[in-house]
Amino acid sequence: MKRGLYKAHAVVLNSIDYGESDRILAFFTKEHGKIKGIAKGARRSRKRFVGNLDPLCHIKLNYYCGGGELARVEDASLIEGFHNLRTDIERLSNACYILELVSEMTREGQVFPRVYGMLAGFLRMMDSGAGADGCLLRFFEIRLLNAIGFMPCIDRCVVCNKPIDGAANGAGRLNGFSSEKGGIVCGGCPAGGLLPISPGTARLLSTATKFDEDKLTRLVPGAAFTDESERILYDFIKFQIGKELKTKKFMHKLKNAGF
Amino acid sequence: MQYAEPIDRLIKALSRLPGVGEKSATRIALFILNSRNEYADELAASVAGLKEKVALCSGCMTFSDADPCRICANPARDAHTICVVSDFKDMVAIEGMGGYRGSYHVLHGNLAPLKGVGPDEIRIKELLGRVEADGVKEVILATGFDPEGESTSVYLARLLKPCGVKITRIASGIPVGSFVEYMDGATLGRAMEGRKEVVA
Ligand SMILES: [Zn+2]
Ligand SMILES: [Zn+2]
Repeated sequence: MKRGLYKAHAVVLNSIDYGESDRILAFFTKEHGKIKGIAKGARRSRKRFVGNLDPLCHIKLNYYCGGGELARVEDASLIEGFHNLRTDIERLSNACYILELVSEMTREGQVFPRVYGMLAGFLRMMDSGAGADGCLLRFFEIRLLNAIGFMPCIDRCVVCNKPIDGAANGAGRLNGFSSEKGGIVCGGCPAGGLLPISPGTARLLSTATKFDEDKLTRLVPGAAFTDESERILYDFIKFQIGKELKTKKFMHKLKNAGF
Repeated sequence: MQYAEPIDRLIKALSRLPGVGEKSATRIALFILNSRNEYADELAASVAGLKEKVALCSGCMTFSDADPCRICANPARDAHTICVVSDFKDMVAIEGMGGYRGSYHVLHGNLAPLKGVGPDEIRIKELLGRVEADGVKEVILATGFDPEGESTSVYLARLLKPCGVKITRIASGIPVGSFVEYMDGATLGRAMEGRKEVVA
């Protein structure tokens, strides 16, 4: 980016204390995609930043780009604080999961206004109570993958490109999902290490990329959807970024805590 | 420029300290190099002794060179009231205020999804053990008001509820010395929620 002052709408993705009173931050902005910045004195000065630089905050941001690795955050004003997400650890971890996902799946310099909109929109939905069953997270995952050009092929066989029509055998039969191949594989194509996926799950994921965001909570998933979609999407995401997500591990730890 | 290996090693070690960059680390290293031998020896001995002599108090989990720590061992302190803090630094701050006469519990962190810190990685189990065993009457939750501190306090409240103790949360609101007009909505909302009757 050219040197200078910038204005942006942003969601705070992460924040790490640095030095005596600074914070190093990652934002996802509408205007310039992901940026990393430093807020000097952020933990001391109540005046300029208050709690506006906590992860999840939806803010208006002024920052200075000096050509270095980190932009300098000049000030931030709150658009939405999503306070319900901050006080419940399950909701907070779901929300943090989508933050980490966006952070890991995008690079600085890539501009995706839609991803910014999705982030704010999904956090808003989760803040108002949606998403406890995990389906909303799956919808976020598939829509994110779609928005950034990583959509797995789920409406036809990724190998032979033939449609899956529900036949009992051969090319019409849905055999499973392969992260390595990048989509679903039919019964007529050779493939190893397939994860199970039912036609209903594949169809719902595909539908979830086409629906309006505010109508997503009306989609009714089948019984197999929750487990199948979580497994194949996370496997696919892991395959793309080459590592586990901390928030995913956290959710696991939370569930298995010894009390 | 290339420093001699021992200097380089010290600079690398120092620059891992919080708030110390490579420049400051170099300055500190050169300061030590230029100081009297006794100073360097004392510094080395105090660093070496630190991990050996300081451990966690088996009661409140604070850093201490005695077990139980001075606060847990002090009969004048109220052991039935536990103030739960995320960090040793927070305990120091509350203790510095001077008015608190209860005991503490240091969690050594918060639940932190983005950092992957789960319930078994902070001292929650020890807190539950104390509350169940020791006839505790009140647990004061004094974690921070950032998302991690907030959600940790709510999580603890949920875990502690079956113990039947009084659970309180420190108040948040307008800091002393600041003005209503500069406060954000969330802070004002909390200040309003936590209002108290004025006794005139
Ligand atoms: Zn095929
Ligand atoms: Zn103690």
